[in-house]
Amino acid sequence: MDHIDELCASLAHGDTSRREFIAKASKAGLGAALTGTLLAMYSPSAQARENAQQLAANGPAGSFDHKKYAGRKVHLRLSKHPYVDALTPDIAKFKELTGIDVTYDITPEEQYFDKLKLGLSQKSSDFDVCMVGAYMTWEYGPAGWLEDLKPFIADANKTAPEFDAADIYPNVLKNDSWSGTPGDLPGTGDAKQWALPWGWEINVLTYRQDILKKHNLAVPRSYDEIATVAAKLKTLEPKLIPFLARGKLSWDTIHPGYLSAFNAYGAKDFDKSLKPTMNSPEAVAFTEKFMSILKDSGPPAGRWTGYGVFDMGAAMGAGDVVMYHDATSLGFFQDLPGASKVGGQGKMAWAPSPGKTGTTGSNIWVWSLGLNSGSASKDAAWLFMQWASGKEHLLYAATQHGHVDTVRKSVFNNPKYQARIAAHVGYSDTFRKQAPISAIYFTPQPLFFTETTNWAGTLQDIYSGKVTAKAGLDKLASDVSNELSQRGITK
Amino acid sequence: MALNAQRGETVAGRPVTASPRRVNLEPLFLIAPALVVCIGILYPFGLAVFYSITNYSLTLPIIKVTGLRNYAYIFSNADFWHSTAVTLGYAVSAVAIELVLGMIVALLLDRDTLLAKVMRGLIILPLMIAPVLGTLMWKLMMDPSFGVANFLLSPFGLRNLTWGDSPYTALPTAVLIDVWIYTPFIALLLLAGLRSISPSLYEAAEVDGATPWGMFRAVTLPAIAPYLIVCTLFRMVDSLRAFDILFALTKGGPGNTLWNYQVTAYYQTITFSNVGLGSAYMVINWAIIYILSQALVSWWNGAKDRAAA
Amino acid sequence: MKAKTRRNILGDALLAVLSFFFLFPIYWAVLMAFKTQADTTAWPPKFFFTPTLDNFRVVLGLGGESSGEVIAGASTSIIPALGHSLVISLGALLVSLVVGIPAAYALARYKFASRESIAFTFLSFRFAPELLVIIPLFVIFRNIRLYDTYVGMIWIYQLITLPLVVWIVRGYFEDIPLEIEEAAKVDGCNWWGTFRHVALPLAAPGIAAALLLAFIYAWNNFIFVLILGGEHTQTVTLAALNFLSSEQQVYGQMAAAVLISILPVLALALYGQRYLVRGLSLGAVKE
Repeated sequence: MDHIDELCASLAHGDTSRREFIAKASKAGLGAALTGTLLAMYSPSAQARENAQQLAANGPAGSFDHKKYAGRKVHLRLSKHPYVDALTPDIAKFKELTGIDVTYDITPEEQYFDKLKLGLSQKSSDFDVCMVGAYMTWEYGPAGWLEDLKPFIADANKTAPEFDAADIYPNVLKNDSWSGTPGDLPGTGDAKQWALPWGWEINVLTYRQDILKKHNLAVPRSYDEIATVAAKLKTLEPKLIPFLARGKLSWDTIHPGYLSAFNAYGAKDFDKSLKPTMNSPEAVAFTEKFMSILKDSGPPAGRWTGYGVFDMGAAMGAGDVVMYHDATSLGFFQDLPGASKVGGQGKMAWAPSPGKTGTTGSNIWVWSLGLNSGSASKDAAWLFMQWASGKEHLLYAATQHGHVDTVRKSVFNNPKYQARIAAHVGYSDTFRKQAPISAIYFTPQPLFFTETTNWAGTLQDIYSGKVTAKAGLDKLASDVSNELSQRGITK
Repeated sequence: MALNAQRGETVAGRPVTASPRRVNLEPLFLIAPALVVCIGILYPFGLAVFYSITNYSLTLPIIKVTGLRNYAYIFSNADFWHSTAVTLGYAVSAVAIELVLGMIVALLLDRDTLLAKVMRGLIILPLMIAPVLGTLMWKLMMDPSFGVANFLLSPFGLRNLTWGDSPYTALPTAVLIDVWIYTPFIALLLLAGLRSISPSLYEAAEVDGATPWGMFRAVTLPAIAPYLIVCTLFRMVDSLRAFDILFALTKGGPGNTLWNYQVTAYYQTITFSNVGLGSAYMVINWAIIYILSQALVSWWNGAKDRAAA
Repeated sequence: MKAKTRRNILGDALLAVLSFFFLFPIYWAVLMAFKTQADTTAWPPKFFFTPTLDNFRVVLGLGGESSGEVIAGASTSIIPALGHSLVISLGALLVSLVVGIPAAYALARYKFASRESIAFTFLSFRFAPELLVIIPLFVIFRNIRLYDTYVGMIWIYQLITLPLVVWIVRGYFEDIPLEIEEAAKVDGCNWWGTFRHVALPLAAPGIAAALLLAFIYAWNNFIFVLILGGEHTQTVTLAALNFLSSEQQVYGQMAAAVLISILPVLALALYGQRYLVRGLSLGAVKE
């Protein structure tokens, strides 16, 4: 080993060039990864270090063996979703590339996570890869059900060079990771990558531009403006619902538009010590505003609680709704020609996420792929995951199928993709503006779903008049606080 | 082994046994396969009861026995009493309406008109649809934007019923769907009962000058009492543990309006991962059903004997 | 007008109203299955429209276009799920028949100390709220490798079908006058012969009714399949839900899926409904 020490020392001193080092290391029988590592450690400059790391990752050209797990089986647990409809036709390509046999099962989305949770909790080896959302990893990760993917990504033997993690929007990748310490924000501290971003939803204003134009109304940029415009629309267009939001008793009622604006109003769900603050004055103020818009200019009396995400999309497609603040892709599918009554005619449009005084970043939902800790073929599964979230598949899925809202910059900027979404008014611009400034505004903790389901129930009670906003949110805060301490997460 | 029956002694067809001292193994052979199938199912029961006295959570690998803490928590919690109200309210309303409506439909079907004949064949249709799917179809009919039910009710001024979305109308809506699915079944059951009544009994009553209502009370009701009890039993058992309709309608909402025992258990066990608490709820649910059914079954046995007399 | 005729007309009127209540939703579902998305969400609701077969094409996996998106064809077909439903429901029925009928006979004919409690025990399986046993079953099934298998599902379906078979058929056996069986014995039949040639045929309507009911309940089960089933056992009830869960909620597709899902049950019911009325006496009353 002595001569290697000498070699490294000489590299550090600048006596040996990087090229010479590589040649000599190779002659000494060191593999590409080790060579790269040593280069990284002993190279004199930062740039050089980076080059060395690239070399370690890529190796001498074409050194990654895609077929190294040929013959293995990988099973996917999937939720019924357009991303899945885009994935299944392309799987044959993966099989050809790697020789791995891929099977899958698909569960309706409403029931998917309940079923997934059961399987993960039993460390079931029935499946290797699953669809997860970032929020789910806050419960699944600390429980030890998912693998931390950072070591996989960093390992050049396991990750092909074309994966190019830097191509993924950095805030998405970051927000899909969490340290596991309740109270730590996503991506901070010793964050573990429990999920690999696959597709995401930014929450923006989706509206009927033909109707706003008809009445000479400006596109709202804040919730005050939404309130004004919606009130006007109530009299101008009595048959339509001026403003709509998700209202079902489900955790997902909270995270789209509501939480995006909640954050813009200076409210937070918890403080650093995990004390609930969803009843702060700012939170109450915004909640009152939100509920009053829904009561005064929302669905016909009492019907708000029946609207789930797909009901909302269908209502927009049927032409019954003027504005909502929700996922970018929700309206996209309604706006396809022939998909709905208003689809494909340039009537629908997208605009940045309304906040307090102007537009704001949005809270995001990140559809991701997770690696089951109970899997018996983790490396083969990882090979699938990087491919499914890789440039080639995502470009195919985004241009030929419904996997819009891509997590990769290269796919978004690809002219074919841009051409595809060009017909949707404001879609590309809004996405481009919102992508860099959006993040997850929730505070990660394992009881996320309990908290948000109860939160949705509280909103429903405020809507029906059972409680005032302040009383409802106070009770929510105290319930959440009790729950956290009863489960041993806080003292 | 021969069956010994004293001639003429056939109370509702039940045989009288042979001398009690002889151990009769034959029935055991016959029942054994069924019991074997069942023992496999008893184990999960036991496990579930065990979970209810622990703090078992899907996210915590360690199970700790906590005794009756879950039950204490449940009984001291207002949510439990709300859940009880929902469970009982749903079951009682559904069963009562189904019995009355089923009786009316059965009487109407027991006639000779063409419509009655046709409907005897078609009335079973709602029972064919899985409750989950039937509820979704109803939801589409009740949709505020395009629901045909709203359309059909507009002439009566009821264009904008809130159906499942309001805490005040959600439970009645769920009961409505339950009534829609199961009343045909009750009606057919009662029809079978009506058919079994010997016409001579009616003739005798008519000779005595009884009115239609009088005949119903004196002849029909007692004769079909066993059927009515059976219907009550089946529907009571099923509606006390209702889940599909409530879950499919609003996933239990708005708020916790439709959180009967099973819906609560679903949220506790699966959504909140609190298996211990959810199991406790289910044990209580099962106990209630068990006790009520025992009462109903003994009542039924009594009614059977009386009806045969 | 004779009183009876007037009563009949009134009765028919009332029956018509009730029939409308019970049958209209199904009629509406049939209409919806042939409508485009735009027609489904039209207001006022359309009773007359140009029908389309697109929904059925998608649901049956025949591919084609629907609502602007090219559907992937076979991957969305509900046919495999129909197959799973048939295997599981019929399998469960078969098991219940084979073990339940002898048990029903024993409970009807033999008097022994624990008879009523054993009979009630069978019935009590029907009381089990699904959620009570679902987690234990999930854990157990995984450990003994019955998760997502036909055998596992058929076994758990016994919770639904066995009590029905035992209780309904028992009542029927009880109804058979002992004299008939005695006569058969006098004629030289042994126990099995009596059972096969006398008891079974006489109880046939009851058995048919029990089977029909058990089949309906088994076919329509939701939560067991959801939690304990997987890709190899996804029944048609669950598969139909997949059509309501996509980003583009095409109601017509769901309606088509629902209609297809009830076809086998419907066929059985329409064929056997005379047995249903005759067979549902549940042994309550002797003629």
